[in-house]
Amino acid sequence: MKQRNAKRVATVGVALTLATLTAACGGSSNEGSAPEDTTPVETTVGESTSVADGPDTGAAELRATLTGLLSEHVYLAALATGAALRGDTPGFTAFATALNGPSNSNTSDLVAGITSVYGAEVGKAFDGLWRSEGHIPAVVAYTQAVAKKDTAGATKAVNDLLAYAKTFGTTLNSVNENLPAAAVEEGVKMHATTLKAVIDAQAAKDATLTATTLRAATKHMDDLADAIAGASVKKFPEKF
Amino acid sequence: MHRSDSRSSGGGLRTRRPVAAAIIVAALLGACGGGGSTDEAGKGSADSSAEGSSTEVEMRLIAFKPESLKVPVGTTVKWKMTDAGFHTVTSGVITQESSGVSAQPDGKFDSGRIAQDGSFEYKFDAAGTFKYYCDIHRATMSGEVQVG
Repeated sequence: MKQRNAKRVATVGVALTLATLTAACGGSSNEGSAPEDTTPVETTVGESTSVADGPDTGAAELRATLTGLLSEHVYLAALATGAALRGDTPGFTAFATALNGPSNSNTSDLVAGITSVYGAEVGKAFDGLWRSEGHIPAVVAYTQAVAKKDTAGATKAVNDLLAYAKTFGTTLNSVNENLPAAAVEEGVKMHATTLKAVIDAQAAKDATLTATTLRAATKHMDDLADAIAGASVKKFPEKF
Repeated sequence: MHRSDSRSSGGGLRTRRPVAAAIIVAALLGACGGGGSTDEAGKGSADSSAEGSSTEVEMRLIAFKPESLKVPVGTTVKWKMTDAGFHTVTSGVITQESSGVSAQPDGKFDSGRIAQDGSFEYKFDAAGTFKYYCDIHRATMSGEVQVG
């Protein structure tokens, strides 16, 4: 169960190792490559003609990993809410488990990633925050309220999510001063807002709108991943 | 600290010095003894019962610190809130399930939502192990008080 986590973290670790070794081996003979050339070049560890991918490969890998995980977060959440709204209990359980289960889940992968950079204490704090009743359970509560046309319940769930966004921003800032609390809060609020739009579209049984809002909700996570990755690299440059 | 030592130098005065020294020592001991804790490193302890970590739990970085606290029967434990947002101190246990976490409060104590800089106190009058958790951060935030 920990293999998926270990695999993902190992992927980052391998990428970092490759980046370090290729940088140490020096540049390639094709030094005329345009700066915009982002085509990955195959390298072999220890090969004297290997290409240096540049000093920010580790950072890019972290950003890519976080983007992937946060995008997956949105997709799994949408799958879970869609299942809930159509009354598919086994489907909801399956997607919710993949999203937020104690292990072998999107949440556990995110926690493993944060832990690998920030250490166990912060990793555990992130775990507690990410699994906070104000986050995913609030999304579920919103979905259930929408299904029952419970306006008060829906409003409470949204308020819980907004409060969570504030706490999340402040807490992340406390462990990494390069992450402004207000900016993180805004990012999480946007996440909640865009996911809410997906749920509303699902409840309205509007497939086209669901697809459109889902793309927007996923795309937004690029920004959040970029912010967290950038700040992490800035705080721990020696790790990248 | 001076000892009343007959080997101190001097002639006829020797017999008086040890007595004088003893008086001085006794006076010094009287001035230092009793009341609150001693002042170490320039920090006075204003309240001898507030031994800091022995009866207090800090809620910091989405955790109870310390997670496990041992106190004698009759102790009042204080939980102090440092984090942003809210926490609770709710007696009971949590259970990890496949898709989330469920909580089973036992009704012994529940602080309700505590905001930053707030606190909660509970007096433990019976021996035993009392588990508790934060109802907002159930997944990872739990602790226990061992009383006895």
